[in-house]
Amino acid sequence: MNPSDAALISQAVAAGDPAAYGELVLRHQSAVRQFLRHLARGDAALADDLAQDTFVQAYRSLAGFRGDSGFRTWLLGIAHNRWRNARRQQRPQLPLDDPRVPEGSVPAAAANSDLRHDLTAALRQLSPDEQTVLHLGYQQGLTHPEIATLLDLPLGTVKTHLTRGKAKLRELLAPWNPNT
Amino acid sequence: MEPEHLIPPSEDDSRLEALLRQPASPLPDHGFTARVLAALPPPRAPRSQARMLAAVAGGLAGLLVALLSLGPTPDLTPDVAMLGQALLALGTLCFDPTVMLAVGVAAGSMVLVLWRNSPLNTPASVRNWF
Repeated sequence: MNPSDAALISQAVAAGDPAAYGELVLRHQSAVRQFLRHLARGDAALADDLAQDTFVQAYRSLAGFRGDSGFRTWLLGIAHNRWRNARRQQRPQLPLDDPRVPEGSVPAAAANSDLRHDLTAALRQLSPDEQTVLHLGYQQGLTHPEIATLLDLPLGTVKTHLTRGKAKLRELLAPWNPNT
Repeated sequence: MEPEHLIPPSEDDSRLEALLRQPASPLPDHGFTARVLAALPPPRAPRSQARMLAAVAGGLAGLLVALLSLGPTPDLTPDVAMLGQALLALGTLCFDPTVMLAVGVAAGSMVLVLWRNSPLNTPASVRNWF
């Protein structure tokens, strides 16, 4: 049976066992890297650099992890913070400032495009906050209060981003809806 | 209140949610974990009990030698009185409004600078998790 995150954290902190921390990294690397790739608009190299920073920072702060949230949620909070710091320091190089794809390119209703592709393109039409809230809510499975905490947004704002984001997606993906 | 056009038809909503929930394929590790482990700061070596005992025993021995070499206890009463007066003068100075304002401004500046440069410069709610 696989040890829980809490057991691995205790082992990594109390015994200074790097193997236990390695297991935690292995377990959560995909979620953290995917979140950062989402923030970095697919720039895998930048996302992986920030993900590495995130795990190193988390290791340094591991003894202070109180378990008020899940370990993955805590990691995503650190990752979001690393991303914000990097964007603040190197704004011209980072790709977030104009994430929108050109008008008219979505949805691609051509016969050979699939729904997944159109969804990805439609997501890029949303505002960065709407995209991030949808990513955290649906891809990462975070609750609304967890998203609010992680992004430092009021709960009502998170819910508004979700509602508006989904409304825009429904409109953009209307050609796929058999009821329209 | 949300505009009416944003209120979703429930069937469309569940189909869209199901689509959004479709998990992305997990990213293969491809050596990522190994790179993280290589970048971790080295663990601090635990202090051995023998070294700790030796340090404590040495400290106690030094204290004993110092006490024995003192001889008869000197009268420290005037020195204590002088120290008390000096501390009182220092306390009076610290409660001067100008000094308190200067200390407050300096402390505020330091907090601001350290907070801005801190890697843990996170939202308050996230900071509380540390």
